[in-house]
Amino acid sequence: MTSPVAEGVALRTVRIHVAGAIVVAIVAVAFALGGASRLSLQSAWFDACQRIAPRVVDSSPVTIVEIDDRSLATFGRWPWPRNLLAHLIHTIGGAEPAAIGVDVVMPEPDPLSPDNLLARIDPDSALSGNLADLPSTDRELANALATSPTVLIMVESLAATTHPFRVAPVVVHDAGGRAPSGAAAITRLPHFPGVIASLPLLNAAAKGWGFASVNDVRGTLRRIPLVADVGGTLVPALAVEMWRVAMRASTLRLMTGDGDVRGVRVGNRFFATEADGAARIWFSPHLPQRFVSAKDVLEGTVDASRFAHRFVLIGVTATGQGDYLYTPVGVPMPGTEIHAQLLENLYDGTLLVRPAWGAPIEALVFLVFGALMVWTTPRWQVRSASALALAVVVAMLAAGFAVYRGGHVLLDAATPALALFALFGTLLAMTLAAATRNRKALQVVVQRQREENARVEGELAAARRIQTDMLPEASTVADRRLGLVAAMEPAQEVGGDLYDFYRLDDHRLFFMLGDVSGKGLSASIFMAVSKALCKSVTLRSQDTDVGDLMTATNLEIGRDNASSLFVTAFAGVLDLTNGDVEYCNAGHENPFIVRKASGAVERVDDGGGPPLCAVDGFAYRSAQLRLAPGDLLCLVTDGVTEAESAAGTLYGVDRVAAALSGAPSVEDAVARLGSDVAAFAEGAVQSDDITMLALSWKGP
Amino acid sequence: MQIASRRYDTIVVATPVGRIDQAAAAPFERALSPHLADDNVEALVLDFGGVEYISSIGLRVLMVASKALRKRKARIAVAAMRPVVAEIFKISRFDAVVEVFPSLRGALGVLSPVARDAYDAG
Repeated sequence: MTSPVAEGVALRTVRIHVAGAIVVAIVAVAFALGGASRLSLQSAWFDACQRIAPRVVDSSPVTIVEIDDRSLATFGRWPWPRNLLAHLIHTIGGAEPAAIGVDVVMPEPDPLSPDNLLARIDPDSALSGNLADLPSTDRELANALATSPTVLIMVESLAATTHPFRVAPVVVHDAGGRAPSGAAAITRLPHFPGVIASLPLLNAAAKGWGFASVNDVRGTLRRIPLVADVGGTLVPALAVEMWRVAMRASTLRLMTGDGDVRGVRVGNRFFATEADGAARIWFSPHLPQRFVSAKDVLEGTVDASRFAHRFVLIGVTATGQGDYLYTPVGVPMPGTEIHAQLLENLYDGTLLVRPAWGAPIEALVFLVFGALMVWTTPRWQVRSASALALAVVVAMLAAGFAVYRGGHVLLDAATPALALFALFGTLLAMTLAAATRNRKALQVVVQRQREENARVEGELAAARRIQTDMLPEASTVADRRLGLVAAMEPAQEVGGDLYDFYRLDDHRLFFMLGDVSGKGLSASIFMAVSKALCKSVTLRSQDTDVGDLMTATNLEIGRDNASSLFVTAFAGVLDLTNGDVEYCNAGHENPFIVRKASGAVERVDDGGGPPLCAVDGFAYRSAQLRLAPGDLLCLVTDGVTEAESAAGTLYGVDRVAAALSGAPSVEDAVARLGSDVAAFAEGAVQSDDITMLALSWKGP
Repeated sequence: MQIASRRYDTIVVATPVGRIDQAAAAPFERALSPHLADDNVEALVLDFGGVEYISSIGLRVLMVASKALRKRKARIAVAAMRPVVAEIFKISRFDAVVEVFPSLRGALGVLSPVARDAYDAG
């Protein structure tokens, strides 16, 4: 990978880190400030916990007397005459309950009361006299209420209260703190302009008065205010008021501090609330064992132990009459049973706790794991990063649920988990996008590299083509008196070996073979220059001695030899009329002569000087030899004599001589030597150019 | 490759050992180069007693050294070549590029009797 691409990758990773860190910080702050409570996911998570593991009821301090369909079937349709209710309360009160909560609002006089019926019939009829003797049913109910620890319900109303209602005094106890004002805490309580209360006659007879609120944000009842502010008067919830009546306490105390509501104290009991005075009911499912039918009570078939020292609630559940509410545990539940559940929670101390430190701790968890994801996602394998994200989310949900099970404490695991999932998804998308860009950048670099290589290869191929084109074809010197074969196999694309031959006139052939000290492009350029200079020198001075030609060539080549290369060369002139060869050897491997007569191989070791360029101004001298008809003269470069076998052995001149021995023709000589060297060097890397030139004089 | 060099009067004797091939050519050239431009060195003698082989790349180093020394009228010689190396010198006619002597002491004697005496003195 080249540096710019690596920098690009690093830059993109840093960008993801920065963007991720900013998002994580913002979301964490939003969580810490309680932003998650505005999302329905948090409620859904708390509800899910309760649905999976609802409260298990192990004490039953509450009995509900339900006016159900069976009761109506026996005693007539609702509303009942109030003397029947009075009878019901009398029956329950006889069993000495702790308190009786009447979950029925009676703001109007009983229309079935004899005095009210009297007003509607002819005063002169016979019935009129009988009715007048009967007592008012409202008064009968008032009497019943007065003789038992009864608590009447009142219902919140959007209109101001039309007639005065009674309520036990609620005393504010402020603990001070940051905002030492009970008044500030009271502003956090739910406010209603008024309530619908029962008749003053009934209210005056009852021992307690509590309100019922069916007000919840999203249709599902999760929290119930324990105290409300009704037009400036503090009113306790029905369940709290039943506790007061049961404990014979004259007042309730609203505990405040730091400007928040802390809870409600009744006698020696303290019920903690959230800052707005509401409590979170830990719901159990609907439980039929809580209920007894009013019919059975009125007919005296219910054991008194169901009421003795218990909270008793009277409510209507008959079809079309009762109020039903949605709770976190699912199916709608009678409103009266919700009061019962609150009483059970207060009794057992099992209210759910949403602590004040909940939101900050959730924010912290999100911050830590969010930072972890921001760091790992762009750096880890997708598989590992996904596994980590999944593990974090699962662990958070498990921990949140464990805290709920273990301590009925509500911590929101779902919203941070979802946020983490969204964060992970975004990071992954960014990472993959960055990876795609990185890959593209890398592809561009690779492509450029390829093009560059192709260009260099193209140049080398072109150089080789030029070099090969410069080497003459044997056909250019074809003559019946002459046999000539030349072959070259460069070690690299272009080599430093050279050969040349051309006619000086009808009877004389110039030939030469050379080797530049080096390989590759520079050697081949030097070779090309040498060959050209040699030819120009030779053609300029046709009749001079070969030694003089070498001397002149040496001067020419050495004139501008910056790279300090040198060339070994063997050059000669063959006289086709008689087989005489005048030659000069400039530091080159001695040629071989294969004598036709004997088949023996001789070496040509006379006449010469140092390689061209090695010694400036050296005076080369020539020598002569004579070829008999059919004799071969073979020139090789050190690519042949120094060819290495796989074992590292050098081919050597003896093997050259052996391969050439008895060769009948130039073609045969070159083919034999070439294949023998190839076989010898089998498996080894060719380290030097292999060049051969063989010529024969066939006779005059 | 390790190349020791000693000085006897105005003559530097360098002693390369092993094969002077593609791999050894660069260190060989670096070892010789300080003496090439040193006017106090009148001759460079290479004791080739320990040289097993020299390739054309190695010969090129000798050629470069030879040209540099000749330019300032200093001399270069190779002494005590093994037969294999002597054969290479013979084939490439490098005996025309550098002076060749059978022994180091003989070379010093020809080039500078003072240096030979210093050599004899140890």
